[in-house]
Amino acid sequence: MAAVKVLGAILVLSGSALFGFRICSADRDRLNLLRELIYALEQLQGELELRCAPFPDLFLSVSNRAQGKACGFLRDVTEKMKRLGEESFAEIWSRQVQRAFPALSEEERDELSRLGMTLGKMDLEAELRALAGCRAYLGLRLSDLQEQLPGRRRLILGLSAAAGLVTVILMI
Amino acid sequence: MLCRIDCLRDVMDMDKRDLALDLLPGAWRDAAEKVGWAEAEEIRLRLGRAPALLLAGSERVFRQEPVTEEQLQRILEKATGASMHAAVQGLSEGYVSYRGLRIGVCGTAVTREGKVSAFRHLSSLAVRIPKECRGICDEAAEALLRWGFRNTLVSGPPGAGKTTALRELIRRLSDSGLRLGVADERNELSAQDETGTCFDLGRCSDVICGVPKAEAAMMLLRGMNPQILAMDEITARKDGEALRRVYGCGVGILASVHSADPRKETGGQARTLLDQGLFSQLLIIRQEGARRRYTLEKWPP
Repeated sequence: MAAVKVLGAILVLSGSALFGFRICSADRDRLNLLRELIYALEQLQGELELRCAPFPDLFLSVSNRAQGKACGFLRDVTEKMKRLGEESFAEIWSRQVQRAFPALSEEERDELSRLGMTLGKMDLEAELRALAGCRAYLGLRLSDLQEQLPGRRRLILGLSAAAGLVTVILMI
Repeated sequence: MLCRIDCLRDVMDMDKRDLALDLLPGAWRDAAEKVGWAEAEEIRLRLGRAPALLLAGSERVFRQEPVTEEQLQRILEKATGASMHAAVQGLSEGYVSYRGLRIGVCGTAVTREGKVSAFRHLSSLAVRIPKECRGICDEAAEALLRWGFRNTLVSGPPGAGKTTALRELIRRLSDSGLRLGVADERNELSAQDETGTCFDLGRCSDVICGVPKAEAAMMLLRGMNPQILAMDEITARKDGEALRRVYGCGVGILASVHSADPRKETGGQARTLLDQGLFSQLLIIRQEGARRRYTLEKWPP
């Protein structure tokens, strides 16, 4: 009987620890995604300034250098741009943002979607400014997250461990 | 984009007409095909008016529902690949180039430092459908080849087919072995797209696209050693000045200009070019209903 209780306690504790690690891992994913997006936007801004090429060309070219989900996102947007005329660019971009980046916060996704409403409608300078603005916003979110992450990680792991212990005590 | 046109491929494979049709919303395409799409020269879209095709010089409505601004925006967005920044150069001159099609744009423009940077509202679009018409000015081409090339100015009113005639003359001269440099600012003469398809400009033509004509002329002179330089629609003063420099270098000139009959003009770009002695021949295009008449005349008469 005691062995069963010990096994149960171990399972509960491991479950709660796993839960804590999962939340921390989601934060890490968001952190990495923000880094990838900032890098992709930086590349896009540079390419746009240098080549002034149409976006489908730029997206494809940058997607070859971008990493992770940002790369897939740019490829998908380029692919979906074949439907221009039936759908607007803003609609395509916004839908892909919602689809590709569930790990981002709602405000971050909204900011990225707003970028899609601006891109493609203005002259070079205005588009460069819009890209720089979005990149700066994501940069701020990234530095906030980097600052908060160690404390948040300790808090989440501590809370999940405590929750596991309380459950074990109650069950015993 | 500097490239050697070696059009050994069958140019008939390239269908700019399908490309133009593809710009329209799905529901419009069938309607356009029913009213003589195969012969259409232009698609005319005006805000609040029924869309129409230009057929043999007159417009025919192909759908009764009026055009909305959102539809105009979407067509323009498709044509620019949602990249207005890449189309600004053409837009500031009133058109957008889409894979060899020229789309005229009207509306309320936004200007920055005196140049058009975008359109706040769109009111009209005119999609011109380029076509290759081999043999349209055979007699003129034969005469140019028979007596040796002399500087020739192609003139006609808007929509008369100057670009089509110029394209045909370029092809004939180039296929006869003369080296032609083609300054194709609006990409209408060669109509190249990203797949590499283009109209046949002959075996000895070197084409430069997307560069203002005056600069393109100098680039061709420096880099490609042409025997004849071809330019479509000389309108700006600097284009005329570039032609004078080309003339001074001993290179032949084949150009087109908007003018019903420059001989009867007292001013204007066409007459100025003639008076400066840059051209010794005039190819005048007259539109008679759906038909065109081509007359090659010496200058001065």
